[in-house]
Amino acid sequence: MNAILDLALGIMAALGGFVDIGELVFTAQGGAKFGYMLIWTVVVGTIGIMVYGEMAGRIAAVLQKPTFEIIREQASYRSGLITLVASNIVNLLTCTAEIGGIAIVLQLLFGLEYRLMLIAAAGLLCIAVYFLKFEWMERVFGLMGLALLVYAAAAVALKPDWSAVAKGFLPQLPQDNVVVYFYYVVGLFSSIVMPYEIYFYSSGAIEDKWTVKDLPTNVLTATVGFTLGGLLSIALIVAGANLFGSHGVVPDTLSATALPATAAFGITGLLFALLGMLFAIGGAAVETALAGAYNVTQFFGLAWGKDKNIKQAPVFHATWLVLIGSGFAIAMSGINPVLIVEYSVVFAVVVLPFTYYPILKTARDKKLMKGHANSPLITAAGWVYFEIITVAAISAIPLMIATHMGEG
Amino acid sequence: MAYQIRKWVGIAGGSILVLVAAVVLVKTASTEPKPMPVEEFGRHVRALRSIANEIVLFSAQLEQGKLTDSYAKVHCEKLQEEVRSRRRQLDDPVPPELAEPHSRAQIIADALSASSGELSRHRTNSGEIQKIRQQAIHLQQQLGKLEASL
Repeated sequence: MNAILDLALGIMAALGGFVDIGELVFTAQGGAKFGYMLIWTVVVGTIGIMVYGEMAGRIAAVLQKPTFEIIREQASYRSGLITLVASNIVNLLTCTAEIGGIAIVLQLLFGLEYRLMLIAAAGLLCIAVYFLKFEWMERVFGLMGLALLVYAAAAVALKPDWSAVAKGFLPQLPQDNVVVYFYYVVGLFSSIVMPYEIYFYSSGAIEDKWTVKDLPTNVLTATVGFTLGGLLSIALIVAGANLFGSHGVVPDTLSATALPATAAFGITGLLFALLGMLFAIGGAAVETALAGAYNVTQFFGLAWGKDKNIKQAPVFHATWLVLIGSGFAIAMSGINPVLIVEYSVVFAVVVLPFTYYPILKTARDKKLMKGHANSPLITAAGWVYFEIITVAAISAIPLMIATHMGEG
Repeated sequence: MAYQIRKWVGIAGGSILVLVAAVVLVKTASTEPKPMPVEEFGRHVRALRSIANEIVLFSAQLEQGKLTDSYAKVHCEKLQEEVRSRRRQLDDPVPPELAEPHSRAQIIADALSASSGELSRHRTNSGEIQKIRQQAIHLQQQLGKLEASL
């Protein structure tokens, strides 16, 4: 049991990144449009986030420095500041969408008015972030989010064509809609390697007081946590392809994404799906709000940490509160949360190279990391992924415009 | 000196940017909306067909008692919002050759909106749910024909 609790940081970081509101809709849509052909993208993205997550966690454990402190040290002040502003815009957009997502799930559970549920969502988030200790936050959101495993069971119960699923692990091109397919490839890949996962994961490692002794835990947490997130994404694609693809539905709403679980297990499946969504989306909201606060305070060298009170870390607490408050205010305007998160995923890709390069540069630096610097294999993998990320960053916005956000 | 130059270049550049943005905004607001291209119209028809398919799938699960009442109520509302949003987009003008399919699509969108509203009202009545599903199947077929004709 303790081993599972130790992995909670990785599970929460992965669930919040892999199966938030945008990802739930995006993967179901991808499955509906392209069957199992996008599975390989999840595999590529999952290995990428594992590689960079492990590096960020290792840097945090060895140097006691979180990601944004590394960015500030490795980049010039100006480019660091641009990265800070851009990544916090992405954090705000994502946090807004997640607050909207929590409100929709609460609505589906209790049948009450959306704006009332938005107030409840923002209130609950503030209470959770302020009152829960970091390790309990990881456990509550990470482990309760595991209710989403109902999608893995649903994917099996809906009896997919396993040979076609196996083929999906290899890259392939569809016969038509190739540009739309690439939009989904880039969107899915970038939603898996969203930068806030790394900010949260590396800061979480310091919150959890990791040292060099915890390096094996870091490897295990990054591997197991992100693999679990990847498996859930694959399950969503498989379930989406089976149910929506066969009925000609391209789901556009969060509520529709529960239908594969209900098709397989009825009301029990529905309740598991909604409960899992509530905690996974809630976890993503907490991650983005805290990531924003970590980024600002780490960049300016101010006091930060969940365990510090308002007097000890005023800017830290004010920043996450402002992020949740602003997200709540934007969501109250009635804007569609799914649409916001799709924009934020695409714009996040542009921030990715500026976040990931300083991590790679530091993790392979033998002077800084001494005996814990990257092995040649990890450095090679880091460079390969850095190039993939750069290509994704360059192509994301043109693909979004050319495909009318994947509508074709 | 260099700072002063940079400052004035910044101010001039910023002012030009604001001016250009304002001109673009005014121009966009004052020009007649362009007729909807066929591809865009096709996207709306495909989206409506997907919603019709979803109503068929969802009503089947509702009839089998696989959904809670609050989920059913809220999901019907979301479907109705989605149809209304598409219907609003169909208000844009179309080229003359699309006039007939355009008005058919508008009628079908209204019917789909009504179906999702009806589904919400009669969500516990399996006889009514069956009727609504039949309507949705009919609308889905009409949308299929419309899509094929484009």
